[in-house]
Amino acid sequence: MRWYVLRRLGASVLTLLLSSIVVFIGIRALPGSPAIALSGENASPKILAVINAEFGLDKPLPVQYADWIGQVVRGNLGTSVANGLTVRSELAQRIPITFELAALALLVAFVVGIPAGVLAAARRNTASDYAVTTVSLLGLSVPSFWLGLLLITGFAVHLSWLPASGFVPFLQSPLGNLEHMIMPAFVVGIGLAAVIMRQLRSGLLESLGADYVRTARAKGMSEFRVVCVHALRNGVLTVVTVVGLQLGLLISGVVITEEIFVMPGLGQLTLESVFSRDYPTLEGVVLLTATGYIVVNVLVDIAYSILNPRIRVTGDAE
Amino acid sequence: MELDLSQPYAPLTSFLADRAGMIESPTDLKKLGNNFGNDPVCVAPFEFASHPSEDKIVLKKSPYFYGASSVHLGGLIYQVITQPSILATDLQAGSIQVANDLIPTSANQLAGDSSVHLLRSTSLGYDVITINVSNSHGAATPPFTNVGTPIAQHPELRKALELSLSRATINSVVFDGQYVPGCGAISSASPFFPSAPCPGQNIAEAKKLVAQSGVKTPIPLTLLIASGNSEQTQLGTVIAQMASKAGFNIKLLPEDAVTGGTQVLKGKFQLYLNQWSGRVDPDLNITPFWSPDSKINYSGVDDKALNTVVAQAAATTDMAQRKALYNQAQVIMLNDLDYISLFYPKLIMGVRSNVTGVKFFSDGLPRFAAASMSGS
Repeated sequence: MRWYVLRRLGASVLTLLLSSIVVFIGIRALPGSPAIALSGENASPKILAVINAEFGLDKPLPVQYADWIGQVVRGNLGTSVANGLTVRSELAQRIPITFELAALALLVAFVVGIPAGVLAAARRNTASDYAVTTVSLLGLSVPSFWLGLLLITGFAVHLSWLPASGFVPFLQSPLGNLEHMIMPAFVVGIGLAAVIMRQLRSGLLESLGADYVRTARAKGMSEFRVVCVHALRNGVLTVVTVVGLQLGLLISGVVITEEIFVMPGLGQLTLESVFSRDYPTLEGVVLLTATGYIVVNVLVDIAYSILNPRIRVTGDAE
Repeated sequence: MELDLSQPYAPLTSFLADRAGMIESPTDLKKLGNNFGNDPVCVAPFEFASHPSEDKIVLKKSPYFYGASSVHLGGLIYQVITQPSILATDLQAGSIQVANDLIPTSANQLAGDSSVHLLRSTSLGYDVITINVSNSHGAATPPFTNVGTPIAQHPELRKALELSLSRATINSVVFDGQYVPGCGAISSASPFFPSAPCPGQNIAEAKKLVAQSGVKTPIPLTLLIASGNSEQTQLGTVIAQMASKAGFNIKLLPEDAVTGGTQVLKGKFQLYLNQWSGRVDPDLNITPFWSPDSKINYSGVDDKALNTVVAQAAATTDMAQRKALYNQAQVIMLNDLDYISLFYPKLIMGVRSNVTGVKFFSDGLPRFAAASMSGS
């Protein structure tokens, strides 16, 4: 196990380095530059040259990359060209908001998706199965922008039960924090719940057809125990993999939700950085997201082997 | 402070009343330099308190303001909300008390809501279709030589494009009749609004001019618009549809602000839908796009007759004389058609009914010095 983790960490560092090069080149391939975004109506060639010199954008690309990566390994992600704040301080402000949103969305997804998946598999080809499958299809198809606006119109405008937008830090007011998070977490989580439900149904159906389940039933075990204790443990493996992949998407995919609910999270920061060509911030965000993806996938692999010790993570299933 | 000018310059006071004339603390300017914007010290009813996130600025009542005793609010929070529908919904829900820059469809949404009242003012700015006629080396980079496209080489094609458009219909279809159709660079909100009439739609004449040009139809054109902006997409679609009747085939090219800005500055466009936010003095609404010295002369205009008239208008403070000269300028601009002005937007601000005293003018900036709020 130890060697496996070390090997994965080594590969992760290489992946991260390659990601940094792709990020660096990809961002600079976008038309325009921070100089154009900053100078706006005053964008004369002279002003553009001054801004480019100030942010080192007039240096050759390999030099710019070397400067940037040299600072990154020392923990310095640079300074935002849009507002002069350090990228680290901006990320430090935004990460907790997005992570909280992602965590609550995941909670919603599990609370809704797992029971729904179990119900659909256990009651296969019945009305319950069809109902759950249809609702999950809706969950996958409904655009988050529309759902968000619908919830705001209902719960904030008409009922005044919940605030329409904004964010309150948990330490400032736990209740206020929860009130502001309910709708966004639901909007993000419901799509993931649909994915979990469908994956779990599929995995559980396979497990329920296995010999050991037939044996468990023959031994007189209750259906609840057969499904939820024995079959679920195997059926949930694909869910773990899918959740791992989705978690990375979750963090980068909350952009729209953060826009709708006016939450100053990582997604919103990414969008703003793209529009303003804020290279240092965008590079910091993308690098952080890549790191997140890699860490999550390593953890998923480890979780996989813990859930089912028979699976050797060298790639051979026994 | 004394300013010595080499010649009269009427727009000067207007300049000083705008951004260029903001009073800032010299001590802090020296101390913070380029980072002054992160902790500004100015003279106003409210002072900077914090900038907790990129999209939020918090101000608090300033005890140093000379009129502090008449300021009722304890502070202000400026929150950036980029989506128009979210802005309107947040106002309805009471999450925000004032919503600036509402679009017409949002205004319709809010019109029946008794908890919100709407303030409107005709903007000093305008929306135009910029035609790349002579921006061959980049904006503000002479020589301004004709770019060689059919629409650049043939003034009658530009006239035909204008005649194919109905400003009234554009206003009705895209903006629900809430904006002010117009064809000049000086808004109807300005006392210098020219009296020269706007041409109406005339498809027959437009077709005649296209035929006269000898250019084979359909004439392909690309119209650069802002991506993700539903109003610009609608506007572009209506323009393309109208222009097709005269023989133009306009394709929309949505680009984000920086990409579009880069292309336009370099002169790599044919048509561009852009806006000017407007200034109090008419000179500052013409020279940015029409002056050969301007850094944003996107079309590459250098009309000697126009330059002379505009310079004369800036060199006198006589209102009647200036107005007459701007009338002449309008005639020249409508003849050259480097830009086709479409309308003057209506600035719409929504205010919760428990908020009073917010002042709103054609520059679009709300003033909160006398504002107050009851209850919550």
